[in-house]
Amino acid sequence: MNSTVLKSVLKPGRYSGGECGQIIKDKNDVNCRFAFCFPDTYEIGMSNLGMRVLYGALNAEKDIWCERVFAPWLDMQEKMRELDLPLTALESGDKVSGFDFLGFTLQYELCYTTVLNVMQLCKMPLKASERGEEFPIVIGGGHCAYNPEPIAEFFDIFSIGEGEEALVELCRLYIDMKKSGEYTKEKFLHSAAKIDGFYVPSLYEVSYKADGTIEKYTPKYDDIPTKIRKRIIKDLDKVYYPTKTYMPYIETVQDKMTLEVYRGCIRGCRFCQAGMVCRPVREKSVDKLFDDAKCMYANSGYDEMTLSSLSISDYSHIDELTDKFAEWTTSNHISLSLPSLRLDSFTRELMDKVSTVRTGSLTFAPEAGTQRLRDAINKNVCEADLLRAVNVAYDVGKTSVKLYFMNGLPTETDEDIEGIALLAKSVIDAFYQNPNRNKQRRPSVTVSVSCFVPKPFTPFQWEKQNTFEELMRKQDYLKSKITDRKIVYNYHDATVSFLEAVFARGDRRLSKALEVAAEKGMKFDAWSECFDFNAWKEVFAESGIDPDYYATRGFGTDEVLPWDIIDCGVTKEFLLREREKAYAGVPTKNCREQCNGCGANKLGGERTCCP
Amino acid sequence: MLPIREKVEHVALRIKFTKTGALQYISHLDLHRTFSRLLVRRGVPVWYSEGFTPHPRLVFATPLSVGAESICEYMDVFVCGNAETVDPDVIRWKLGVSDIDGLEIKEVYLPSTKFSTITHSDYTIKITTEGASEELAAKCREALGASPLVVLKRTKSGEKDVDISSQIKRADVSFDGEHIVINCRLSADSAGFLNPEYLVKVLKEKCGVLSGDVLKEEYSILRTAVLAGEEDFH
Repeated sequence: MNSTVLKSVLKPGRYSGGECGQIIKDKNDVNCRFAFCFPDTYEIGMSNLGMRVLYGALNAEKDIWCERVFAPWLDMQEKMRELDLPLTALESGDKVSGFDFLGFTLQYELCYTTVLNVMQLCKMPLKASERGEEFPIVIGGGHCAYNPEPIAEFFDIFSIGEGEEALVELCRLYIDMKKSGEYTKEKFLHSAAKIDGFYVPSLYEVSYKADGTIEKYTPKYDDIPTKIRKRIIKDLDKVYYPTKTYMPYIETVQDKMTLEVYRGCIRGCRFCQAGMVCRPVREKSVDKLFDDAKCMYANSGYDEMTLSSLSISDYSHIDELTDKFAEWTTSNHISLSLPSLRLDSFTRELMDKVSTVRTGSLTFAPEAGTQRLRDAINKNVCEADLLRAVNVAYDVGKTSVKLYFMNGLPTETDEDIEGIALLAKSVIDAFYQNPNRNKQRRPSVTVSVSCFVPKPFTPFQWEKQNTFEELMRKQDYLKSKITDRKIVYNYHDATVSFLEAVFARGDRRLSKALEVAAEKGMKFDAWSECFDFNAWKEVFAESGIDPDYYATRGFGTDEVLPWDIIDCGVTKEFLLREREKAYAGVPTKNCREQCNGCGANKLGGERTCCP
Repeated sequence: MLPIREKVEHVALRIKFTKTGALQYISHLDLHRTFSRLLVRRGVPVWYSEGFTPHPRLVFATPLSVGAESICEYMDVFVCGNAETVDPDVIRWKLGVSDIDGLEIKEVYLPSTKFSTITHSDYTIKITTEGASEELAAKCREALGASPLVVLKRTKSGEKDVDISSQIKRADVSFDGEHIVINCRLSADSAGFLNPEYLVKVLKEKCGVLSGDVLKEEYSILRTAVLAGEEDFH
């Protein structure tokens, strides 16, 4: 990149590349060039574990070169437009439009406009059908790929599920077809659709009923699957893990060693998509984890390590693991953090072993204000658990606690909302009743409330979202119930959550809206300085789409859902059973106590808790 | 609550290194992090500060602005041991070849001077600009030789006009057939550190350099020496 341009933008380190650990190959020695894009800023993308894993897994293949691409920030985009510069990959500085593949990791629905923005900056046609042989094959993966329909028109392929093995297979197919001379984009896509875990949307026709709901998906060929089953890694001890990886120079959101402990979740909270689509639970062994940790440390010199999983205390050998780590981390001055701690597992013993809890405030997620609603969403924690957990914290001198809740959950009443205020108050009261409390300071409780978004492949996938007006009323109602000045109250923008719901449960017809949004130059919707709800209203009006149809409408259980083309392991029957239990206010036992027959065990897996 | 740590004997070790290429775009704080990690992963017995959050102590000699390269940066790091037990050659061997592009370890030694003895830095500024010629070089020479030479400087208390002429000890301007080249010696003591970017700013404003096509014009700044008085700093 031209140095005058770099010197004229904020944080040039976002664009200069050259970081320690980046992979440079000779482009003449490789047969496949893969541009891997995280459709957000460098600081966010460089913190993502999935990208690190796939970058390393692809580059472990000698003849494949994977490079990083991020969305340039607004100032750089302006420069690029002014000077007519195309978007380039960080490692080689080559134009992205000349690569064999352009992959996007889709982590949240609000990145969709940025995906299209990146394609615009690459000077590529947005629609897959309009991109000729000269352009890269555009592929998407990540959590949003479990319902890829709203962006289906823009992608050639989606990778469903875990990609470490699948992406390499796809590149191999590409290389083989190129070598044998039989490659055409059309033939390649047809062959790709036959590999497990790849969805080629252009090969499936969608028809609609008169009422606007989907009638059916029809494959264009007989030899491609009618439902795409997600891929999983069966044995996490045997798969590639990035123990040597790129390290950013500039400060990023998460700049530390991340050690993935297991995938999946035994809990099954009924609003949580990750807890369903990441099943079955597969753990790494303690030995493998310790080896990986030592290797990462030797290769990086980082002084911070975080254990990553959906709920770390549910790892079946958590005590053995933290004991083993405690001595090693202390003697090497490494601070160990355990995010995603459930409040029912928070003990003094655990607290003494990790350092994040030594400094700063503690965060817990009761999610709902009353026991009735916590049972309905299957959170399986009670007020006594919370009070016990905060007392552990108060005992050692902590004074501030953060609590996460959700508004708009199915079956929620004003009583449940008031429950949030009461629960926060009881956390304050517990402080004054604790004889060991830090008497020099006042307690503080931060209550953070997000808005419920119905997500595909959850028991709540059919539920209607509250209108954003209703969510705002609920936010105001809660505000009126919080009278204690020691309670700080934050809440999410309800219109953002509305948009998230539209795209989470959208179908192919939403591509039109995204196309209009891209034409208007919309991007970075996850950034409050860029999000413009009025602009989105215009987009929907212009594209003739009623967003309420997707967000605030209850979906019928007999409807063909846009994501029915995907099989994530968990069956619809299980989700329906869970939905009924939610209405009845009955919790479900966790997977280790009892198998609930979700269906994910058919995918297999080592060190799992499935029968 | 915290485990009580015994006091560990430690000594300052000086490392001379380069900061070139992509590394020019990272800030002082970024370099601090990057360098600490390099030392740790190469097994240098780094000393950790005694406090609530123990961390390696690295001190850099004199600031280098983002977008400037250098072949002579100095940093002191505290390592465990004393002047007798710490062998700089062993640490040099441990550090080996740096795996950070643009960061090359030049020397490792036990320092006998303080950073506060630094008075000046030498820079080479190379400007690729439309109209580069002997005439333009002469114009630039004149502009930089003016006294007083007033620039708008950004300070903590806002922007203000400052005369920088006394901070430019020397500024030789030449035309090498392609670029305007400035070899200069600028003040670098704590009282009057001058950022070489200001020289480029003066030439932009007074001589019209770098006012054409952004994609064809550029400039580079390279620190070539750090001095204590008339001598090279060591």
